[in-house]
Amino acid sequence: MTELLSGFATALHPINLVYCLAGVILGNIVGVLPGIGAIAAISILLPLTFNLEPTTAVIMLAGVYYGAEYGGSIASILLNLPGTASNAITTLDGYPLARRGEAGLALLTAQVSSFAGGTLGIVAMVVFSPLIVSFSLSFGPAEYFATLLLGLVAGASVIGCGPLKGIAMVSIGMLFGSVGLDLNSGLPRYDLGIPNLLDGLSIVAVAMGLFGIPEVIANIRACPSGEKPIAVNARAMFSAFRRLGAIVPSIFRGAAVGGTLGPLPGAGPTIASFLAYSLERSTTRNPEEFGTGRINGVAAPEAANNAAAQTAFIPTMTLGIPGTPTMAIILGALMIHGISPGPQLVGEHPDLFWGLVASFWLGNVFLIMLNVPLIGFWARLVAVPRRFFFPVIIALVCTGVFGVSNSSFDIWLVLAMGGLGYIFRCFGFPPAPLLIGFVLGPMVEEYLRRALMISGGDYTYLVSSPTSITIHCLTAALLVWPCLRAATTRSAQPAS
Amino acid sequence: MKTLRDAGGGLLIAAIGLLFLLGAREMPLGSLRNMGPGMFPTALSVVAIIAGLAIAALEVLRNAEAAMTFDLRALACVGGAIALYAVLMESAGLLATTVIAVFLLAAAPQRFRPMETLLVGVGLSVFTWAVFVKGLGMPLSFLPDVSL
Repeated sequence: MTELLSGFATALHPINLVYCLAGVILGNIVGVLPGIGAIAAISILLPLTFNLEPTTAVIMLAGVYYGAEYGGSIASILLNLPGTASNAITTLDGYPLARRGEAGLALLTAQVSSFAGGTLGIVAMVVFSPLIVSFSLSFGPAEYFATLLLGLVAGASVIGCGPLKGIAMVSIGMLFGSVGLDLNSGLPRYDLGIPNLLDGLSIVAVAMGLFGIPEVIANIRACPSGEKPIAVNARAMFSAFRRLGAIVPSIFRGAAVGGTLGPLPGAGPTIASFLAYSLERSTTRNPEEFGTGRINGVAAPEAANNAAAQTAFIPTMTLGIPGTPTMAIILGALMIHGISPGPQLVGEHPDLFWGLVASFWLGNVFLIMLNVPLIGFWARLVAVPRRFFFPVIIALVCTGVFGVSNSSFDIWLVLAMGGLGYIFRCFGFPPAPLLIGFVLGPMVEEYLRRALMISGGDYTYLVSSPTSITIHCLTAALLVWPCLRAATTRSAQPAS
Repeated sequence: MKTLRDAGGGLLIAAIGLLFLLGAREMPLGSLRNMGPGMFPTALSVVAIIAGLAIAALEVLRNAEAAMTFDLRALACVGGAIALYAVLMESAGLLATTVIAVFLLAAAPQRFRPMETLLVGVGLSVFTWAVFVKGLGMPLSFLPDVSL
């Protein structure tokens, strides 16, 4: 408890407070604007945080991440276009409500559920993080290797693609990660005689290229949607407060689903919101009303994605394993600031960890205080034509990435990664496993080689403790499970 | 357009794996008990090649054809704008680079709006100059560097 209080002292420091506010406002904007995701926004902002203190930098980047979950629901409800992927399910009931003239109620439900879900997720983080840390402090290289391998396999089994595609993308990401000086021998790898490559590929350029650029290419020629967003004002929001009693159980159910799924690698807020919605539908006596504008159908997924966005930080901060690509970038930001992620992080940098946790809650307070009274402003922002944003994204990406090492080399790297990312997108290969492989690959190699050095090349050392055996079993289960499921569904429906 | 979508991606992955495998030939492999710098990349390249070929083979066997959209004009406009930044920004300054890049991007959609594009370009260059050069102290100039 004292740690949490000192965390609030860190988060309430004026500079941290300002950057937290800036982060959540930017995140909210990014969320309101369909087409730019939090991943692209965070990688664009990363170079701007280089001169900040690490705690301040992560506070701001995290604010962009969970702020986007708040803003995303506004576009979903008013425009029927999800601001981010995890708000897609909110359109099902949010937009019909808005069409019916109850936009204020739908928006208020989304904002209050987001706040409650986020708060419950933060409570889970406060309770469970120290437990995981105390368990994992005894980890040696073998256990680390096992945990990282689990993270890689989980990253490979992101939904929407078979395990084979995931493994292929992860290995390409790990190959990109192996560029640069080999830590053990000091020999250069894949440097092609270019000095810039000795430090490895910059995570900023890789993330911007893979997530930002393909998004622009795919959307720049899309016809502007003729739909006008539905108008709403703050008075409609305030008058809806007394009708919120009905959503309390939905919020708790949604937050439970989201809080549980958030830390699982490969799951994340999007899956959490879908599952929370289908759970919500199964708990009611008249499920056919869902999709026609029920506030429970807005409350549950919005509570779930915000809870998941917060609990996703648990494995990232306590074990150094990012479950989602956004967490991989946050991890990359920590490494850029010279902080090595892992179980020792909470012990070595308690101010960073607890300051971050406290800032989450302050950020959530900022968001709900900004969004309810200022809803008229956000609604107008939704109406800005999307064609204005593409040049802004390209300009910010190119100028920002130039600043990583003050050279045009990284702009060329963005171009190469962007082209590759677009081609992969066209082929239907998701970029998330590639980024997770890129971040975790060098760490996996380092711990494997360190473990083998300790044991003198004896591979049984890798499975010498109950902990590492358990983790390897989990990894194996994760690999086998989709294959089993595919086999059983195929035998169940032989006609398809 | 119907193409073998997964097969293309699988072959692309196998090709990248092959490039990295060729690049790893120079690096000392070491042994499995005492790995050299080349061991990990070589193993990963092999995994990528096998996985890529397996994806391609599975799709050909299943005969599953999926539609694929590939927008060459958008790719060329966006890619061209990024390349422009890489080539011009240091010598031509932010104003000229941004305006030209914004015009290139505006050539992608069907309807071209010259006045609006010019305003966006100028406004954007002032904004990036204020944030990155004034705010973060990046060594870039606003106007072309005439001393060259």
